[in-house]
Amino acid sequence: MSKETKGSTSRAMNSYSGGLEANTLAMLDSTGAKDNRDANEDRTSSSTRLNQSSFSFPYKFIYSSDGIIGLQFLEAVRAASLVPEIGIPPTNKMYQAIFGVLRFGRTLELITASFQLLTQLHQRFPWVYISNSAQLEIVDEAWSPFNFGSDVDSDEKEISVRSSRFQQLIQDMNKGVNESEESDLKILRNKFLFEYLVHVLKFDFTPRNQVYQETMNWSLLKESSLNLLLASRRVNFKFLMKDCVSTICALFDADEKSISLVDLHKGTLSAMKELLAMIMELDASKKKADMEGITNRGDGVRTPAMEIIVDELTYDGYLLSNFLQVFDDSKWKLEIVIQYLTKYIPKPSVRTRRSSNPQAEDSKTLNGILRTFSSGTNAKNITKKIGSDIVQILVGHAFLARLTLSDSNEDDSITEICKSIISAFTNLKRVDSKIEFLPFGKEVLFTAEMVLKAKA
Amino acid sequence: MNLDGPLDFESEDPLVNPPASVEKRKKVIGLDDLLSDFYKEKSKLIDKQNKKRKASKVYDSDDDEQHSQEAVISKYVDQCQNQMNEIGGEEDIQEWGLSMFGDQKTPTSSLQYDLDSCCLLKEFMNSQLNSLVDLSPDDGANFLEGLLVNGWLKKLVLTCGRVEAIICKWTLNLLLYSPKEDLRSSACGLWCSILLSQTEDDGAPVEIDWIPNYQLLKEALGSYGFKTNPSQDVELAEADSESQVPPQNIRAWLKFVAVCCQIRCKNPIFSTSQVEQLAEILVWLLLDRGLQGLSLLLQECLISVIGSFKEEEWVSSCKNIANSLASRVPQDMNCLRIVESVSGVDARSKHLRSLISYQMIVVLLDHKDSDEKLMSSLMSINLKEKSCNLFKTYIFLVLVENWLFSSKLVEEKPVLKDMWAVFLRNCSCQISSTDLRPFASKVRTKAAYLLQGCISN
Repeated sequence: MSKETKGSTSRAMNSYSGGLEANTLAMLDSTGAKDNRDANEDRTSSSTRLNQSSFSFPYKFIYSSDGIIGLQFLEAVRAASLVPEIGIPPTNKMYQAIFGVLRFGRTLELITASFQLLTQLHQRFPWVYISNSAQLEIVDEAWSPFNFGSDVDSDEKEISVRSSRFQQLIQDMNKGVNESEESDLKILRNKFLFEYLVHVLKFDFTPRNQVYQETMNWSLLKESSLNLLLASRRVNFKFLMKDCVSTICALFDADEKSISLVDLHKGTLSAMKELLAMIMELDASKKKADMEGITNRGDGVRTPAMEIIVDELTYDGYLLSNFLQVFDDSKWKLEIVIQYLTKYIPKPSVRTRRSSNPQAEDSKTLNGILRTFSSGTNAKNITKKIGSDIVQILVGHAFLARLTLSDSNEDDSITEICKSIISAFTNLKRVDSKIEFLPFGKEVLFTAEMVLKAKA
Repeated sequence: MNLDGPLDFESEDPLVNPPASVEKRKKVIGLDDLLSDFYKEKSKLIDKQNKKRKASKVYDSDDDEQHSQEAVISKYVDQCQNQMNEIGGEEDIQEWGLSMFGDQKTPTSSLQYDLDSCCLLKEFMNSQLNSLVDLSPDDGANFLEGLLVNGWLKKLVLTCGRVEAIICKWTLNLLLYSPKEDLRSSACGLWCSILLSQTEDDGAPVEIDWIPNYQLLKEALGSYGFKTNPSQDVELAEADSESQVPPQNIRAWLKFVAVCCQIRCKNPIFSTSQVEQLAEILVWLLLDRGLQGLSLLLQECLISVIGSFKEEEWVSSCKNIANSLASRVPQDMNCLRIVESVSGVDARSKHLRSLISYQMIVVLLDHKDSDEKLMSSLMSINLKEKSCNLFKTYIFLVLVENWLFSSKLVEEKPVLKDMWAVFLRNCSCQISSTDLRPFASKVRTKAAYLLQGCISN
């Protein structure tokens, strides 16, 4: 067998997988004379078509119009790998072929089927996982949809996603929300692709980060796909973050879209949120590693994602309110709001690095921030700087996020927060009696009051 | 416009324009040959007409001329297409697809509620803090919508651990019938978290004053236009696809059903036979091409539904579902689609996959004897015979494979595997690679592939 199967040696299934690979892939090759007919389907890309003879197998069926061959292939992999009790893991070449269907499949059926198969395979045969003995297990030479490697172009690389392509994908996502010039199929395909890629990043990052938290072994995260992706010189991180933020904030009129598109759009949004949260996790872990002095210059310096996000949201109330409404990862939402507000809250004392000055820490908790509003001058200053609407939105969303998080110490208990919220709002009104509360602000008050009543 | 050039559809669609003379040829004709022949003839035709046009030079008559030209060509195209179909190959492409939805009906929801008597609002209006908010009974409904969409209601209910009946009914009504996406999806989110809180081990379950029932869900599905007797006309389904799609609420409906089933062990909302019906409905929905984009959601939902049977219910329920489906699904690509859409990732869906396959074989063969007899009747199919229905054989191949290998049957009865191997060998050896009957090459290839797996195991 060629070197592609090497990765599966650890699974001790080599001869089976080899046979399976040959047989399933042969199925793709058996299209034979019918390929000629398929050529006509791809009218717009007749020039690409000419080049295809130089590509290896996947293209043959990908350009097939009916997709039956592709579906048979996917179904065969499912039957061999997922259905049996002891399934045979697909070889890297087979993974690549399935991913090829996802990237170039010509029918919605092919694309959904390959997406589903890939995610289910990933669940069944994870590449990175935590073993029973709490060790991080990384499968050698496991297949990955990403290619961060050298520039040698080959068939394989044609299908793999490079870091520049990933950036492009997010850029398209941002542009494409309200554009109809692209075909529905292309939009759907991009959304599925993006969702899958984020899924891969997450399944790679989460166990690594978990073990890192315990062992402080930075190389685990350094080699994570997410870090490799973001460290790539082909990725403009700032643009990437901005595109993510504006995609999340973009209006989406569900009533004018097909059911499939609406459902997929929701999937894309939650993948986008996961991606942002993941990047912020990575930043936090990196910061920790920096402080411990276990990173080196090779790790590079990158503006933390949260700073870019907060910058992006500052001065644009519309963006801010939309973003906070959609981005529902409570932990990071709370962090974002706190970071936003601390910029405007007068510092009680000069803080030094790693100081454990309780007063300094105070401005970093929600309740600490809320308490600064209880002083009339502070409340007046802050509303003057950022406007009372923005204050209501920020405080409200922080409260909303806080209601979800269960960890609490005495000071930061839900009842305490509710009381602080009510007094902060009352104070806003007292400072400026002309203030009109937003409907959102009224909802904040309503909730705080009703939670207090229920907890009483 | 270049009138001298070929018409758009001519140059772009050589697939449907093969020459008339191919019939007498030998079997192996590449489409390229057909194409080049066709172009030769077409260019002759166009040359002829160009000459005619240059001679007359009367441009006013161009329209007529063009029409007649079009008519000639479209007739020609039709002829060629028919001949192509006779030559074979094209029939291989059979699509699954049923139209499961008809016209939507005005919802006749039996959900009755009166938001004015909502305790939550009343309680707040009586509080001192209302001086800041100024909530009046008139805008109660609006205010509640805001609370729902922005996520406050959900947090409030989960934090307080209680939800009153009026809110339950109001949100369920939004979930099932609201035309506004933010309302229905927030309502769905609220319901999902309330219901899921029932099974969580740590946090206390939310106390629910009112529980929905199966009838409400069925009513809603009916108003979306769901047909209990699906029309089999695929073409009709495709042509009218826009009017045949259910409202977007179907997504919320599906998520809601899935969650209701997930908590069934703790809080059975549906009876056993109702869950069976739901499973069937989901499989039918998987056959509607209009819902293809929802197939992941549908399959997840199906997993939740079949996972909700109690162990003692499952064996007979699985049989009921399989029986009912097999007796009603049309015997074409749809029955393969059904089998393949049951994902087979867990024990239950494997079992269902196997059983549906089996029941469909039974229906197709009209057979009620032992498994061995069933296999031997398959083995006796003479594939060389011209009248042999290879399409049906193809269906058998897929069904039997799923029946045998999605279960432990082969381990229990090894003889079945041997018989299966014989059948596969028949399929791959009795059909030659030049056989032009519809589905011949598909049967051959599939059997050859399956045979490989059969031997190597």
